[in-house]
Amino acid sequence: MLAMDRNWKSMKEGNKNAFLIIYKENYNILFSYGFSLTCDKELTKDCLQEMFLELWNTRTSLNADVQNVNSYLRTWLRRKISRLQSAISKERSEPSQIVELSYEDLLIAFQENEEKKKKLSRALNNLTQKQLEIIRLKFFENLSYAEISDRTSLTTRTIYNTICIAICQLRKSIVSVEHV
Amino acid sequence: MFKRPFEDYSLDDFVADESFVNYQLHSNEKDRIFWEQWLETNPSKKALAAEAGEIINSFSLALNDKEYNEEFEKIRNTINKNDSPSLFGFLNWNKNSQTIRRKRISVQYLIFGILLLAISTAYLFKHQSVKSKPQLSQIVKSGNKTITFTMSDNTVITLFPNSTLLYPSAFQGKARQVYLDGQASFNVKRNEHFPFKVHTKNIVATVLGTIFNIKRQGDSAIVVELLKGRVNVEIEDSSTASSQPVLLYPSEKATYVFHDMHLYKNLYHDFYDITFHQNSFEEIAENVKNIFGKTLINQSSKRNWRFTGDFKNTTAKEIVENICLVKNLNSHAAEDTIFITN
Repeated sequence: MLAMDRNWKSMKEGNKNAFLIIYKENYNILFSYGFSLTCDKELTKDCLQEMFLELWNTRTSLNADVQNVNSYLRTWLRRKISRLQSAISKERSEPSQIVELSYEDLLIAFQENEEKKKKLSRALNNLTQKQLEIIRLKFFENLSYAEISDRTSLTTRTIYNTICIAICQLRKSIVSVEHV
Repeated sequence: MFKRPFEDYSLDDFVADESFVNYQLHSNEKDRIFWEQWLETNPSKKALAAEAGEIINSFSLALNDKEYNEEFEKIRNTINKNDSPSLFGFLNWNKNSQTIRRKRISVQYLIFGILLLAISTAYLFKHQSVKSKPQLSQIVKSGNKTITFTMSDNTVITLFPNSTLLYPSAFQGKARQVYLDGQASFNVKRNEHFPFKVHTKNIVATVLGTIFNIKRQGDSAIVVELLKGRVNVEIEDSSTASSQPVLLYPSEKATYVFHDMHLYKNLYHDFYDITFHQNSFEEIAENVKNIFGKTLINQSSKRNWRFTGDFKNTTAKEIVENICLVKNLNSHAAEDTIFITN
């Protein structure tokens, strides 16, 4: 956490490397979050690009005391996407709805290939809810084993094993879970 | 943790290893540096690590390495280029993303045109626009129907009734240029090096891979509506008005209003021609509601008046303001409602 703050302060002072580290360390998590809100890869990429550019361009006027950079950026991204979505639904005269897809649906939506979508869907059906939840916590929310242990009251050993078994099972169901 | 030595790692070991996951998702610099170095010194494990990486990306809903690197390069290049002083500072244009960069060239011509105008004549500007006009040998007229056709670059155009599109048989030069008279919908094949320009009346819309519409609003305006991608809209002949180009993001639109030769962004109220003749407040309110979607509420003490007026290219706000001027009343607006008071 402290390392983050240092990067933030350094970035505010104009350090490009610090900015790029912030970008690298937060990009993927923010992308996943953005995708879960929009279900649109290109839109999420564009929003993130815009947001990071705005971050760099307005760095001097930003709050110096940001405790958690990831939360800060998540909120920023959420607002950006939310504004865009209500603009789109206003244009279409539809009520603005935020559809919250399940993790399973998101995984399938993320696949671009129809054939892979089907394979993945079938493979996911073979997992238990618990297995899926642990995978979600580890990869989608990027929590540490310690954090997952707190949440689920399972030992880190159990969590580790669950992940290994689940991945093995999934791989048997599909040749490999790769995306285009 | 409870690990084997890294050299003995199986696919599952990589996938389940917390620091490896951090490396793959770039969420921790230290982990990233560690694994990058380790893989350099253990190249035999690279293939397995790559496979594990793909699995991790899938479950994290993260971009694959190629796409991620593209995004990273984009931003790195952009912030490095930012150092050069920009001609656009006074335009208040903060966004410097790569997609906009390309359009700056066409905007730059426009800005230079305006500046040089103070010194030289409009000749210079006309000279530029003449140079860029291609030989348009192909003509498509839609007549009474809507027709859809595909161009040589795979752009799909839907031409609405009573419209004409002019385009060259082969795209030449630095841009793909077409001329539209009427209404059409464009699904442009993305090509960053070869922007697609639609000229219509006095405006030109420059696009990259994009889906957008161009339509008329009665006789008063032309609207460019963007669904996907990015479009830059600017007034072609800027010797007549000072014009800032308008950059559209999805769901935004630019409205070019003929009578004041101005390009507005995101005009959510439309321009219409309306005539009132001895109409009561209730009648006027009903009309305004139907046409503009705005609710009028009369909170003043004057109830039994009648109003006569002729409006061209007007808005709900303008109508109310006129009524208030004539009847000696006041108004204020809130959201979709306009209140008339004493």
